Amino acid sequence: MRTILQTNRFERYTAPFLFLLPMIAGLFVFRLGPVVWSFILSFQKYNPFQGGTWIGLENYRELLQDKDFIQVFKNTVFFTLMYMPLGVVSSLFLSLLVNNKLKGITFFRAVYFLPVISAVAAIGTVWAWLLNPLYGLVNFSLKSVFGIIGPEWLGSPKTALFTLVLVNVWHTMGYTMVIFLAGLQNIPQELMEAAYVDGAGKIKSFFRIVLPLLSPTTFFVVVITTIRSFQVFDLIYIMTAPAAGEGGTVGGPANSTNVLVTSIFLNAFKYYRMGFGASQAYILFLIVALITAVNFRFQKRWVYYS
Amino acid sequence: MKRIIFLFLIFFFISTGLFAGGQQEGAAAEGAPVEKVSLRYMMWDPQILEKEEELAEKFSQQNPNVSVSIEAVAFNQYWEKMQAMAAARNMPDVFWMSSGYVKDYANMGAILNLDPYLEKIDTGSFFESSFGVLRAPNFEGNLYAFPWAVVTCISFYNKRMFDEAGLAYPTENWTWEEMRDLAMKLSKDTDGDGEYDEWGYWVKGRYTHLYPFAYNNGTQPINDDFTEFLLSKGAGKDAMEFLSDLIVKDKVSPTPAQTKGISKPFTTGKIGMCGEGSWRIDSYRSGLEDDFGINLVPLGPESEGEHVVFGWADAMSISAFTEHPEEAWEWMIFMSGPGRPIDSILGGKIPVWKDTAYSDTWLEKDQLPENKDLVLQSVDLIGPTVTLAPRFDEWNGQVQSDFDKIALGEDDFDAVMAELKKKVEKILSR
Repeated sequence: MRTILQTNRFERYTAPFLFLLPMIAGLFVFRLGPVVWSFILSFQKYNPFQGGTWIGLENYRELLQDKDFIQVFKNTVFFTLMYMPLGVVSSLFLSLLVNNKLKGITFFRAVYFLPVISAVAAIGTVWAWLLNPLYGLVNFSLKSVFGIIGPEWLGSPKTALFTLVLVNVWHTMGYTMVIFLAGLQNIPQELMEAAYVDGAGKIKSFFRIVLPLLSPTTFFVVVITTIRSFQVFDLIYIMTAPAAGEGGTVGGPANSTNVLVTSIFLNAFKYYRMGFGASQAYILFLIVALITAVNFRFQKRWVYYS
Repeated sequence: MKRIIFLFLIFFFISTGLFAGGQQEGAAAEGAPVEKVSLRYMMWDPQILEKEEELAEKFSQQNPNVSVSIEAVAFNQYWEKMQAMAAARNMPDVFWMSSGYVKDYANMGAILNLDPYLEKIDTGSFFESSFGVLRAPNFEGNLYAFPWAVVTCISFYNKRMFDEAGLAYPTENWTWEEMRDLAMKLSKDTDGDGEYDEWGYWVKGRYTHLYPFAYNNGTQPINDDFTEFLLSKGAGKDAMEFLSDLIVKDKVSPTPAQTKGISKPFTTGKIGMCGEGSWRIDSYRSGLEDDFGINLVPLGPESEGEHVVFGWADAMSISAFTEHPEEAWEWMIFMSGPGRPIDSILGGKIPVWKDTAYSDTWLEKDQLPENKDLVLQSVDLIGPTVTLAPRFDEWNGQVQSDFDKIALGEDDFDAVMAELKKKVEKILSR
């Protein structure tokens, strides 16, 4: 058995570094490198054939004046504002439902989690088909069972963004449900029993005991839900991409579902304006960083750590 | 001893990582007398992949030292993939080129100028209107893509719906008013809920639906210099207003919201007429149960009786980075000229080799539509095509998006069109 005194200089100082080298190399090439490169790219006019020319803050200036970008920005913010509360409340509700010891409850927990692990391409395609305004199953059922003409879902600029929010909530509910479930199960049973003995009803004990004790979990869920909602791309791409021969672009009817990430994609990879796309990517980075900072600052106010 | 093993393992892992990729180098140096050439060819119609592979086989039989490998990418991902390949300098040798991108790719130095190669062939046997469309810049410059088919925008009508309504089929010189009148007579509310569910016409912001109406009203979408957008005033505006009124005022066309996700509404059998590309003949034959006919697009009030057809060529280009330009050219000519078997180009795409186009086999007299020769007539009427303008994809996308806004009844027509003019001209001027 060797002790630490018996290791040599190579083993103590160089070997660890060599072991880490593959991982660090990967981080530099695939993470840090692109981050730095796209920062530089955001100050250039770049296309893959002719390379880049330096144009300073021109891209950013153009963004601030571009009406389409303002629409994109609005879409992104509205998407998050709609998605976050719905996502948090619905998964909290689900977690309360599955937080009991009934026989077979594991089955339900698994079922609610299934959408999370389903392929996004499949989810997007099936939901787009179900929500087809004229012939989809949802509107067809609404008409034949309730006699009401359903909304135009992904077809109308007024409803398309909200439709995407709903599908995304369905897709991610299971994940945050599990996180809430873990938080709920950390609440000691004695507290709940003591409250019951003192005469507190279910609702009162929920708001006075469960919710405050759950606040670290809720804080975590709010932050990751917000950050993730800014990154949604694949679902929007699948659901708003035009059908073959339909014409048009991703980003829904009349630019109404074009969020920051889809806008970056369109500008960089469809319109060959990679510098312009990079500048939008950095705007996204700034927004997410800002929100995270704000959230962390305010956690002192409403998170209760026991 | 441990240290030696450790160092050996590191060396082993690094070297397998480095040498895992390049094994082909040794095999090629075997000293074959004729150099084996492998061409990479990319196209955007996966549905005809099998036929194209047969053509590649045939070509290899005639040119034993060349083999062609085909990559089929769906159209809505084609240009993104092409761009990624261009960035990696890994482009295919020959690939399908759209007149919407030819100018941009030529300006970027990505495709070869084909004029030097034209001297080897007899250009008179091809539909020469198809060449002009591909000359960048502005129809008179060098030829950067070689056409293999021409397509035009024509009008389709559902014969069963016409018969049931007791209406005569449209004539060649029909006007906008006649079309509108027919559309109103064909629209029906079959389930009594107060809304039409069979429509006399179908129009949305697609370039195949809109631009032919501008052309047949004595104007065009963009001017010849590609600097001005002409659809927000005068004859162009009248065309756009006529079409949007069909959706918004007369309601004889479904809105874009209603047809969301339906890729070919005409095949549902609930649309009386529509204006689409001639290539739709294939999908309407297989997708529509009813009989259909074709016609030229109706004449507008400013047309002075002259039909102007909106058409362009499907073409192929040779990558500027190819190592085998001669073989690439041979493959391209094989695919466009007399060597190409007729059964690979039936349906609505018109072969550029005139003998093939005028042959009885291509005219397919035993299939729909009965008057397919109308399509050949339309080729000779092709006007200045707007798809050659720079960044066609981007500004045309704006036109589609904004027209659909008007069609959804949200916004004021004049306001949107004025805004659209600014947007389009900004993109053109970049």
